[in-house]
Amino acid sequence: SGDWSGFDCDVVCVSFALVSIMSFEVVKNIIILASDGTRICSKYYGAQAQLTNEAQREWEKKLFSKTQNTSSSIILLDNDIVVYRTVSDVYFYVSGHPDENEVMLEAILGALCDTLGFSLKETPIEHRSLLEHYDLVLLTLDELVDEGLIFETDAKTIDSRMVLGLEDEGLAAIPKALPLSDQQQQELQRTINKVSTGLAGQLKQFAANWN
Amino acid sequence: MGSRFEKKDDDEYFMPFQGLEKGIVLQEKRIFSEAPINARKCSALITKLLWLLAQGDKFTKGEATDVFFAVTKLFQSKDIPLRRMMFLMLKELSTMSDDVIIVISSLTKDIISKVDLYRANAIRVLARIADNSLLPQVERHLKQAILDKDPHVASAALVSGIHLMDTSADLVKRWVNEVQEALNSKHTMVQYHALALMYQIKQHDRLAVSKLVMSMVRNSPRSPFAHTLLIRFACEVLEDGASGEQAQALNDYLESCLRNKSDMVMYEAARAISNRRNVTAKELTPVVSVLQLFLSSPKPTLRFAAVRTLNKIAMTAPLSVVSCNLDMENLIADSNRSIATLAISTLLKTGSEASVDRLMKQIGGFMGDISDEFKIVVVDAIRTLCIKFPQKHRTLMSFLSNILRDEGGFEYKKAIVNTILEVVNVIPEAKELGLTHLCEFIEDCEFTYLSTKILHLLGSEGPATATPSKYIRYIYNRVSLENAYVRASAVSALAKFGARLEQMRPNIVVLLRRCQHDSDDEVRDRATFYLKVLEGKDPQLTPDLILAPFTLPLANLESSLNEFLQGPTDAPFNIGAVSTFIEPPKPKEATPSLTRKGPKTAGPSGGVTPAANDQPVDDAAKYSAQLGAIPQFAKLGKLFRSSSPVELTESEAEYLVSCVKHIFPQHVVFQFNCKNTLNEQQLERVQVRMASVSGDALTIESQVPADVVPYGPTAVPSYVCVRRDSEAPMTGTFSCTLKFMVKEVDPSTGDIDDFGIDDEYQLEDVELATSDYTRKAMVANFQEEWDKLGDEGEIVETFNLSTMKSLQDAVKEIIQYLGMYPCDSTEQVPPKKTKHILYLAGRFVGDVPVLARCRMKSGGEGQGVDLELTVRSPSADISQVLASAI
Repeated sequence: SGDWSGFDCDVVCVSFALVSIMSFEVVKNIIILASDGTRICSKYYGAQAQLTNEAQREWEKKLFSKTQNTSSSIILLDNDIVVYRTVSDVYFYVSGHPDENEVMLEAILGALCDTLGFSLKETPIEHRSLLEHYDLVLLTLDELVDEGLIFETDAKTIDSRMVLGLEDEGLAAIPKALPLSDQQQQELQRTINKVSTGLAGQLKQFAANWN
Repeated sequence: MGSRFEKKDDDEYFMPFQGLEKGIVLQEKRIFSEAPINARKCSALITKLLWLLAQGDKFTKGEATDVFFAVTKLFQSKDIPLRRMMFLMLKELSTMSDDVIIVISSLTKDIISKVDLYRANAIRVLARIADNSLLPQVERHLKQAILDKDPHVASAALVSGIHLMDTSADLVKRWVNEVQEALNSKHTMVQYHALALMYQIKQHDRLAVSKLVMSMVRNSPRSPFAHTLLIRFACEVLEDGASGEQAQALNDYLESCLRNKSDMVMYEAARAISNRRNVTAKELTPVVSVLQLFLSSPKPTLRFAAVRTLNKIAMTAPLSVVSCNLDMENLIADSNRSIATLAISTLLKTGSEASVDRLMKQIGGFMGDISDEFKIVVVDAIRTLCIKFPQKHRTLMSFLSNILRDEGGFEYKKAIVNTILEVVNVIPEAKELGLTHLCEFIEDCEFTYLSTKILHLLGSEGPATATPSKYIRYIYNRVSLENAYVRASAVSALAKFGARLEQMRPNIVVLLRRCQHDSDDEVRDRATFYLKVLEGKDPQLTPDLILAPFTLPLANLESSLNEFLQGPTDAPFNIGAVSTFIEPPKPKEATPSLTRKGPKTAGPSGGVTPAANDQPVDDAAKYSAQLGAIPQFAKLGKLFRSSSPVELTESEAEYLVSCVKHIFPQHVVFQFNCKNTLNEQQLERVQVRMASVSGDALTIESQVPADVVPYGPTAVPSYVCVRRDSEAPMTGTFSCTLKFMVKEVDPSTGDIDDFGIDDEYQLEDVELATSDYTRKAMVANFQEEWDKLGDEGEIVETFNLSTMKSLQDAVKEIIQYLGMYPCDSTEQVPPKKTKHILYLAGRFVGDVPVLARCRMKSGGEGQGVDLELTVRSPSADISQVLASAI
């Protein structure tokens, strides 16, 4: 109001341009960080893909410092809405426009973690295992989101599209012959003996009846 | 990463990829060319390259291209997992390499391959690579892929279509039949992608969009994702003005989504309905119930979503949200501070006066735990609350002063200070308390901006309080402890106390003398000036000099000073001659935001891009430069005003002519822009002959014809310059005839016939009115300027405007006749008024300031409007001219 005019410092009016967002590009970025905040993998989509690596790392640093050691799973940061989840020593983040449906972002985050869990099978999700199966991380992201658009969210479907189960490593993981412990061998022997004794008796019986 | 793995084997110390270097990895690319292809080694190398890219390692264009080419060798491999990685690699490199189109044929082969996975991924890579020249060759395959029985392939084609809408919309639009069929796909994601693409194809056809939405609503989509899209589309159709049965069906659909089994859909519907314009309390009830359910959900995201939306609803319909207050109070203790803050902010909007104290206590408990962004949200809510419940200002002010003393960044502190300033301004009883809090704050304030702002406030408000002397200590402390900016502000504040309160003046003078020894020029200068005034030795220097606000528009002062410096500087600069009239801002038009992809989400969007339709400043500068370059007009003086172009021909005429009137101090220049729309003609020596029909006679001083007006879209100007013989502005109606020589042109060869025929073409008349000689101007304070001009040059006339239907019509007409700018929003006649006063400001040719006061009385239905017009300017003649314009 008029009473405050003529300040020594001019009041700088900042106007916020409300930019309408495009609903098809749901995801602005997906980020996976280690427990010390270092990047495991991150994908930026749309306008954010044009940011420099430094700017992206700056954002990851800020995101990490704000979300580290918190139990909550959603944050509004610098005009982005971010849902996140910690699994073991890994932080997963999915960001979208502040007006985006956060429940939908959460669904994408859930799909990401579920798929990795499903595809890694017995191996737990942790920093090391994600690096060891880095191709799996890359392919999961690629099958989950295409340039910010949701591509597929069903863990089993994504897993089948990654075809990594056929990979040599996957085959190598199944030993060709199972080495048995002594106890197991004895056990097996006993079973075989039992079955063959039984079979022999039955054969005798059969022969007797035949005659 | 050491400690975690210390107990393990030595080789496990090293994480995979540790110490990986780009240069070395790039050298390995020859592995791709080895025969036979070693799938395992190639996959591992691709993973390493992708790791480097994901870490932000930059590949030069050369490096990227080399790798890209090497990777294309892998098209020969039959190993499906390797091929999958190859596609990923190609996609990543496609944006940074040269000559990526060489893979088009390999990709096309894959698109018609029998392996689903090849088809899907080849499509995705292709959509990245193909440009408008290549796309037509492969488009057929993409179109077929939409109906592929494998959902992976169909989705890939549809999503690629969505991306391609940016660059090749026309081509994608041809897939409409296939996309339509895909809408019925039994695969949920295919249907979702088809819906998104279909909308994009149809989005500029409102009828088609509404048809699409109606048919989807009837059949209900399969996945929650598709529902969220459909909800957004449905809202758009409703906002576009759907009515009757259609609106009913859409509203029913939205409401049914509130009962969907998916949280995502329920929430999307809830926020979509709450965001509708003119949403009623009845419509909000089921929405609030859904959100209330979410408030107690174990999932933080749902709680956040609910409280965020309720907070937004509370801004416009706080009563609808009251039923959730109890649930929200529980959320104040939520472990997610964002949720807690939003809950508080909502409660502050919906709470009653009685709950303020309790709420403030609860908030105080957690302010330390939240980030500045959220603190600002809370401060904002407190400001609203304070203005809503002025009696509670004591509680709220003490809360604000407490948080002002806590740690916090600049934006946060600024928000608090601004809130206190506003509260002090609105609630007089809060003033002294507020000033005291602010005084304490500047004792320990690290932000120069805030300190100077507060010192200014103390200077203007402090002297009027009951005990002004108590502020002096706070202010003077700043002089001894702060940086130069703050010291200068403090000196100004002190001087205001001295100027306002005579009994304090001697003490202030003593303090100001000390400031004269300051190390900073500005501080010393201010102190010296104020001392001169306050010591009262020079009768011309009155304390008013310190107290009166500086009202001169700075832009005017600047241009006056510049003008002064260009002329002789023997005489001192006269600040009184600086005009207080400023150019009014042009109304800014809101253009609808361009939707690039899909509709707006249900959020509070609605982008408004300011786009000035015409820019008077630029036009004036442009005309001024154009006319100045013509020798005949170089000496006419400063261009005062240019009218907007007036069309003198029908829009479908053979020759299109428009006229711009340029007013100079002693002349009027008519600029005729001529456009030739006949391709078998060229016009030469084009000029306009003018003659007076009514009004003043014409004294034509010079004419500048257009030498050649060829066929084409560009208008070529010709000019007629007329001298104004009397002081009074020349007005009247003038007939115009276009005179020219026609030469025939052969449109096919462009050959021009040497022989020309003189011809004429009758144009419409040009009017020159008083309003052409006035320029709109704006004044900060109409009454002040009115008094300043005085009644010497005043002319009063009364009229009966019998043709006016209403006061509002009269206002519009008067503004048009006088060509002046309405002040103090008087161009708006309040409804049902029978009397109105319109204030107008402007400048007359010669830069003479003119003001007009129009008192109007409506004579009732059909009686017209009575007008008393009072015009003031420095010259009665000019006032008379304007008064006669009506």
